[in-house]
Amino acid sequence: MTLAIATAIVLATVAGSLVYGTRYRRGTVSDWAIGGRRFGSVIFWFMNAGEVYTTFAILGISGYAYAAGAPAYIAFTSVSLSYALGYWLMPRIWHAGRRAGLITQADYFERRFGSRALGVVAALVGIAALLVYVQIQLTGLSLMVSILFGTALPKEAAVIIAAVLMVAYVLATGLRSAAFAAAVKDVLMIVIVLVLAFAAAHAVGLGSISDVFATVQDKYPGIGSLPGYASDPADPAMGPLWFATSALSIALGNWVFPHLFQVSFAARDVNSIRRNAVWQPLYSLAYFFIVLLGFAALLAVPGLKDSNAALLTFVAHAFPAWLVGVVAGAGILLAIAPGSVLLLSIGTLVARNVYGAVRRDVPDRTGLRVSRAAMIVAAAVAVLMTLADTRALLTILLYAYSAIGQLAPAVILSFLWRRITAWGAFAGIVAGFAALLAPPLTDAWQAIAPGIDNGFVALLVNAAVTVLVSLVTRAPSAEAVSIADQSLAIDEQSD
Amino acid sequence: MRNAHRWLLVVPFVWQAGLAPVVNGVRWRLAEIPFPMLWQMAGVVVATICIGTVYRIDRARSRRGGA
Repeated sequence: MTLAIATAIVLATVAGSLVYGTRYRRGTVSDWAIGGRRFGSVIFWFMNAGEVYTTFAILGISGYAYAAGAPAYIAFTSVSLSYALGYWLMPRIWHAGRRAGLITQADYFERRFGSRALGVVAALVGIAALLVYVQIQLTGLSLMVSILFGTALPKEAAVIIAAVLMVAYVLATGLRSAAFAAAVKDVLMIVIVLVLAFAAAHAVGLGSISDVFATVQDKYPGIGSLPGYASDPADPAMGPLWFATSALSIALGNWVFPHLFQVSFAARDVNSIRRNAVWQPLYSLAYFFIVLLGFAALLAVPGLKDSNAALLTFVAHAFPAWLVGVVAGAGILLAIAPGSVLLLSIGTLVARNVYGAVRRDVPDRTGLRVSRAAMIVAAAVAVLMTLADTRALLTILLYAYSAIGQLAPAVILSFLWRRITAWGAFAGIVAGFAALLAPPLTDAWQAIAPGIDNGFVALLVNAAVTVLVSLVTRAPSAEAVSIADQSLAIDEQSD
Repeated sequence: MRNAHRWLLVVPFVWQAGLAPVVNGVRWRLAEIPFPMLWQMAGVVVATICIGTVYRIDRARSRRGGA
């Protein structure tokens, strides 16, 4: 029954997405990749929520609450900081996109810096990070399937089916279908999370939500504050400095994921973007229930080796089969809705910035065909990566965020400083990678400021190198710089 | 400064990242919820108010055509 309910939910959503997407279909790259720049406030909000609340977010944060405690609060922090920055940044990205007819993030790099090569570098870094991100979604999905369905559905089959679904419902109709699936997913998720949270206290034999908090803090002293119950309070690894710098890294890194450029381009007007930035953080209060469920799981099913499995193990252990089926259906959407947007972004990047760099002036129809083919190949690669890799979800994501985050100094400076150059941006990215990945350097940061997020240090190094190298290299043309110039923007539009 | 109100967008950074170390040691609880967790949740509300205020000011200006 569990499997049947989950299947029904997923198939109904995919069908609904296709119908919705087909209604708006025009058959151009812009239409497919960025919804023809016609998303209004509501659908734009769901599109953003779709990318924030993913399998990783839910399983990873409940897993953090389960394995450590307070470090899970970063879920509340990272969303608000992302959108406080996004309120300023997203309209700038959107204006540049509209003015220069941009579709991908690498388009922006190419045009703003007047360098096709930098566009290719940005595209390749972006594609790599997106592949890892798809892999994370598929790993979360396979975990979910193995816990909730047991042996009814083998893991390999589940991963392949999920990848096929991710491709299937956006291949023909594009971003608009993904937005529809995101909306279904978020409505369903909120209902489920509320039901589970209010049933959780009862499920662990306690009277109320307060009792869950009281009991878990009695049993696991230190769980409520950083670094959590599992570490020595003096251990900097998940201490306050880690917390603050990781939240900053996520807020900065978030905006330079290529798919979020495409999502920004999809907005109809500046007010849709700004309204979204106002209302998106409030949704993160729903993480209260995710943290609560992580704590309830710690009381009900302690001692699990894989903390990412905590929430699901608890659900399978404590709730009736039909409810487990609904959770599984929503959980699968939680992976395939964002996953499809990631794959779509990879497809567009390949077609416009890799294929397009080799063969100039690709006609729209060819571009669309290459995008779709690349999307299928990317899905296959992500499946192979998933079946070969079992690292903890959170480690992989923070790693990918930090790596892609190396594009952040170039993006932000490009809107603030006319003088930034392609060589500056490129040198900054290289220096940032080195600061992030070279063990002697990362050891040095930890010696100076124990617990600091290495990704954050890498951003500072990157920004410094970007500025220095920009000062000694030739500035981009005035025409290139003008696409990021806000004074030329039709800044405010009426509602 | 014309865009001085945009500095409100810095408040969430101070509240949620900057002050996280300061509130980490507070043991007081509300309905048994740990204070650092309450602080971050309050931070979400503060962020919404700040971003919302900036939006209202920006929108009022654009309606007056003063942008």
